[in-house]
Amino acid sequence: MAKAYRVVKLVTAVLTVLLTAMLIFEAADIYLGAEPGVQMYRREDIGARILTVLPVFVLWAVSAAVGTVLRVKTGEREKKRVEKPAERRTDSRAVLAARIALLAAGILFIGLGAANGGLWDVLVKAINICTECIGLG
Amino acid sequence: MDKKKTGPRAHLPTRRRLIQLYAALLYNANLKGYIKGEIYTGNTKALCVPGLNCYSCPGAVGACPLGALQNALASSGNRAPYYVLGILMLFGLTLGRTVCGFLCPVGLAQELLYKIPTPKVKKSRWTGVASYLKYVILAVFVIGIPLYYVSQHLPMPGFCKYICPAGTFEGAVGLLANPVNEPKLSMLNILFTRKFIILALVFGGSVFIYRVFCRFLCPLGAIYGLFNRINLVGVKVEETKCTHCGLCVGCCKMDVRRVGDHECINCGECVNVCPTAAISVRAGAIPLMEHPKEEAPKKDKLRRFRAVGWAVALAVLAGALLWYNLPRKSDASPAPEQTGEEANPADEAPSDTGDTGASDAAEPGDTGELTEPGDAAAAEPPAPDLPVGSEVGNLAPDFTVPLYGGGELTLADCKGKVTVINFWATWCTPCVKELPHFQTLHENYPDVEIVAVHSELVTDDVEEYLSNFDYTLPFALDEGGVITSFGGSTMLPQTVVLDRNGVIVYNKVGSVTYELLEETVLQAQESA
Repeated sequence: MAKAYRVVKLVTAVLTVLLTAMLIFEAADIYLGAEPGVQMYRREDIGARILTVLPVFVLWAVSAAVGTVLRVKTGEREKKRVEKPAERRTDSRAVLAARIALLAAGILFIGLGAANGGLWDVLVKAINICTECIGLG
Repeated sequence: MDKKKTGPRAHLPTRRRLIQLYAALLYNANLKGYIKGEIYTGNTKALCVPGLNCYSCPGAVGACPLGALQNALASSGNRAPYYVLGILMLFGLTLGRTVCGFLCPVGLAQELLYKIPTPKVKKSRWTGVASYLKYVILAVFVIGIPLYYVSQHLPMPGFCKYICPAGTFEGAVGLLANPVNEPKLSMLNILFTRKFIILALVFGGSVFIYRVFCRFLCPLGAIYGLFNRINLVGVKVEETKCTHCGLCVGCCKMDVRRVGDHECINCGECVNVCPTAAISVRAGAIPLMEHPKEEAPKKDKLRRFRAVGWAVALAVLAGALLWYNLPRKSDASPAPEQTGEEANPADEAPSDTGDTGASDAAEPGDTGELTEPGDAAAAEPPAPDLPVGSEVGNLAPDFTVPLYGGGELTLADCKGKVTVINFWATWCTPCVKELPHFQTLHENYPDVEIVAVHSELVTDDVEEYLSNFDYTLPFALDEGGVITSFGGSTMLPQTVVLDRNGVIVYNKVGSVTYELLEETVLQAQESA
């Protein structure tokens, strides 16, 4: 069982790399193959490329599922490690002062922000689709 | 020592995993957005959620703090970004990086991917060094780029635009996977390709490296990390009990040098490994998670406390799901189409658009295609029964908008001229970038009527903004939500071109080039 688990882990790793590489390749290929003035991403083209990646994705998902079942059955857990921790320096008074100062500043800033239109800014940006943020350009 | 769970029970979701799932669902409670392919446009979007969650995701009911921060910095030429800074301070003070460990959907996705059994890359000195990369990203993409573009009056969210995989996955894939948004595919360009490649790398990397995005790239984690020494809710160590054995740091998959430092996501994984029960997760003085040895005597009390907590949390979630997904008045189907003879400008005013004034009923997106010369719709004079609508070939609905600088513009007065209407806003980067094309068109084609209509959602003084440029084309304010009668709603810019008869020959959401504009105008001139 343990040997089978090790093999599945390796297969899943290879499939993960392959799947990632295929996704990157397909995206890059769409860009590199695009003709000027012609729509770069078309539904039918994306569909065809998804079909190319799909078998690897299914294999990857199956391999990951099998690996997960084997992990549960073999009861593998991560080995305990020991690392020397860095020294801790805590000044409870300074922490308390910082907390009070930040709490006051935070509440004050939110009030000021609501008054100066910052709240409205956030709302306006959030209720409109940010085309650049999601990569639409 | 405590009895360890073994077998399948050891692999059941932990309380932390359930909280992560809960937070992801609560942030994205607008489930009908996924079905309709639209984003939520209600008032709760003025509030930032603590974790990284793109506000252009169809399910999102709150704003992303990182996106909001960048936009606030981009607007800092007009007003100080107090609101977002205040929100981040409060989140940092109360939770710090506990947000990363418990309340971030991106963290959850990475942890689930990391559970896939493969050989793993363990933390080392090198990953420790690489963990500082997120501070560079914070300085350059979140703070530097938006501030740099302030002087050019260009709102530029650098991290969202160039890196954020949450935006690509939740926003772009989430929206574009819906067939309703198929026309928006025409807007995809190299920007999407680059961001998709980053998303693929984060996806692949997360299988091998624990929280690859959080550890090395996430600027929100970098911000919260700064608060980790003073946060109220988090992992605390009782110094008197600590033997400095190093088991806690050894078992941690993050690049921590000690429990609770700026890399610690307060997940509490180290609580159970501490041989002296010195570590606990606390909210101030109240213990939330302790070593089983410490919890054993107060097991019943804790169980009751947690049961009440979960009951309240589930009630909140159920309430949110109902609130965001129950049908509203604004979800009602639009009024039937009118014909040219029936059209009345007064009837063209947009319907009630809900709490914020933005429509979530109209379909945002491309509403037509550029007509080829000789196309029936464009070439023939408009028949009296030509429908009024937003599609190419429809008669454009009439409207009157107030002009900046005085006066007003009525579309009916533009009949006999090719007319270009550009819907834009000062807070929309692509809109601001393409305005010079309309100005050039205005200069090169004086016989073409061009008007740039600012969204009714105004964040800056538009006239003051325009005074920074030498634009001579007319600018108007979309006071009554004219954009909705042209099929637009939550996405800008949008450009509409009408021929001399007032028939729509081009109506598209997304940026345009000068060449495309000129070509469209020439075709409209020839066709009419």
